[in-house]
Amino acid sequence: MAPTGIALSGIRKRFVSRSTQVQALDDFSLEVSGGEFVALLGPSGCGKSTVLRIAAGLERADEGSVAVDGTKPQRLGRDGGLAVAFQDNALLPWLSVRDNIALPYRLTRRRVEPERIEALIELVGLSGFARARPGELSGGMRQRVSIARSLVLRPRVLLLDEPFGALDAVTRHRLNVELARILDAERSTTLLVTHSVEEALFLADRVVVMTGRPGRVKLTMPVPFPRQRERSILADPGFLRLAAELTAALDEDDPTAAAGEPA
Amino acid sequence: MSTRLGARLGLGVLGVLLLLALWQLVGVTDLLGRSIPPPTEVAGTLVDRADLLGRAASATGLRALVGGLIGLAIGLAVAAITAFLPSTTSVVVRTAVLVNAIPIVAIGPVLMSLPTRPVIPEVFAALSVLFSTVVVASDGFRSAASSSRDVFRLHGASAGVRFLRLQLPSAAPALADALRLAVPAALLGAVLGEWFGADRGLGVVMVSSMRNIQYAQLWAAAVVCVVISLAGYAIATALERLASRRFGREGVAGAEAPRMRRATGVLLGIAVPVALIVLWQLWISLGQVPLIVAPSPLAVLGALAAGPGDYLAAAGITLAIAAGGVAIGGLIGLLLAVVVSLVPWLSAMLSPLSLLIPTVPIVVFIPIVGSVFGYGPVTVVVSCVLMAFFPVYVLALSGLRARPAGSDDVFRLHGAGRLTVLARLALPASVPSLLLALRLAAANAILIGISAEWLMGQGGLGRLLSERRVALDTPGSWAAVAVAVALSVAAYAGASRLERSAARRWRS
Repeated sequence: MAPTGIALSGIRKRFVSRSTQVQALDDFSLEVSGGEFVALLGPSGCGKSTVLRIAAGLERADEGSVAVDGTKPQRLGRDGGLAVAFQDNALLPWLSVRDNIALPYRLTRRRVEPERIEALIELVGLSGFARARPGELSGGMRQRVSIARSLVLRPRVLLLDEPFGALDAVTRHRLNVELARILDAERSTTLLVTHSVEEALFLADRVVVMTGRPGRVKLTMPVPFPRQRERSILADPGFLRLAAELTAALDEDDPTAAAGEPA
Repeated sequence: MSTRLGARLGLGVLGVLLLLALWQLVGVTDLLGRSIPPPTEVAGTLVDRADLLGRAASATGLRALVGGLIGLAIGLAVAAITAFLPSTTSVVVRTAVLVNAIPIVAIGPVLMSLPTRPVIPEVFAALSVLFSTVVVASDGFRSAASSSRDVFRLHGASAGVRFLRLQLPSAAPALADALRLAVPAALLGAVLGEWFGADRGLGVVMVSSMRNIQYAQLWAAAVVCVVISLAGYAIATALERLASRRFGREGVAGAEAPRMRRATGVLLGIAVPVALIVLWQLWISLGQVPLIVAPSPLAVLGALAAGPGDYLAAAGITLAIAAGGVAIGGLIGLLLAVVVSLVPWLSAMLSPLSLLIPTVPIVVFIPIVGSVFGYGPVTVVVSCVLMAFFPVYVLALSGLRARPAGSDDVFRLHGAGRLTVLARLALPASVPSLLLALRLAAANAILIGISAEWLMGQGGLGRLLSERRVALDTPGSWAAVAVAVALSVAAYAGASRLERSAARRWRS
């Protein structure tokens, strides 16, 4: 059997624009084993989204090797084994919620499973909105559609690029609780990119902290709490201590940050 | 990055050179007939007839300038009313849209029978400029951020202070935009007006060259017209850049225009035309205007009632020609845009074309089309095709690229091919732009159709207009004008209804 999970090793990536060159990643390595949930945490501009795009096959690394479930991510994406929930929901405004969620079937040329779509609409709490268009939904609802779309083909590997980054703190937290519940039902290998310490600790089995540019792994922290976490964990002293530790690790790289970033 | 920009520029220059070479080939070999002279011959004529062309250009340019400035001034004054009284916005904009949907060529016969006869080019230029100025400027006056407006309200600023210190500066980029749109519009109006009898000007040179088979001179006059337009457009664009940099325009959410109640809208839609007709009747009755100068509304109605079949048939022909032209031209424009969007090097080579198109006063093509296709209905159709092709090509090209943020990644992630991206992403994303193009083309195709019919004496309403006028049948020619106006307004209204219903569906 092919190895499962995400394996990035020795990744280098440099962006060249008209006037500047940016070394985004320098010898970056990360492994996410099959079924594991890893949160990638880092200051803004550290290249964490680049890591995700490389793992998704949307960006090519200058050097290093990328394997997702033992194969190239591009191939896995075509087969529907890999999915991404994007930061800006990337929904098509002219399609209904139902048709937006069905899009991956059409792009990978397979038969649409209406029951699967209806089940997901229910799972993300949008029953009754199947025929609505994105323009008629709130920002939080659109993100749920985007999450449902990323889950529809039952991907073995799921990449989440700050899926709730554009939302307010209250909505964001509520959606995180729901996301935890949904992902427990699906059990995909998951890589979450975020700049929120609380979000990372609340959702992941393991948190990986990146350094500032050029991005490298600075710290890896297993999260000792069992999955299916409750909201109350946010007030747990153990949780708060880990959060403080992660915040301190982030601040060392960010001279402008006087205090921890609120979730 | 800079090398890629260089490559794009190089391909653009190459594209222009290739087009010129193709034109030279077609001209020298008479591949498409003798009426297309090679560019070298046109260039020679530009030099040989510099005297004549220079005089014509200064006459037309002056008319476009005077008319355009008058149109701009009136448009700005009207737009300023909406800045002081926001509740008038919707009435003003609707009236402007109505005025814009009136094919200016159709009111030529009316203006000819009035004392306005010698200044028809100026009047046409002013009218062509008026609409875009009112709409763009009134949007501009509303573009100040609502938080800034609150600052003025908080400190109890008067309406005058608010206008001078907030609305006018924040409208500066929009006003420069209005100026830019005005350049080709004013030239179009001036050239069109010259066809109603001026003693000199580029429009006159074009028509007489067409009739006297002086093809090189016809093309030379068209080139001069495009060059003037291009120069004015370039100056206005520079102003627009300057204004945008100085006064900013990015990321400012303007206020919505206050909405009018539906009943009020319907009432106004009926009351305004009725009031105009009553005023017209009063002017005729009280002023004792002779029938040959201007007929009363009742006389026009009588003329319509006497032979409704003629008018209906003519309107049917014009509508069929315009609709066919829009369909063919739109399809060609869309197809070319799709091909160009799939082939990057072609898009770079044709990029000068999409830059040039918005600056061209489209009527200059009618005599050229006429010289190639003869004085027949084909010329009218081809003119409409060209008219629809230009906006559809330019807007489709930008529409095909206006995809929702991040959607390209979704398609790439799942390995979608070019055709899937085209069918499921680019084409649906371009629908709002295509419908905008359709709306612009709908009214313009009827304008161009009638203008071409008028000039060629062929086809529907334009032919009827010129026949009735020659026969000194003033009520009859005014009746044809009324039918033309109604047709054009209806076409525009239908297209904008379609656009609005799609906009609701496509809004993200």
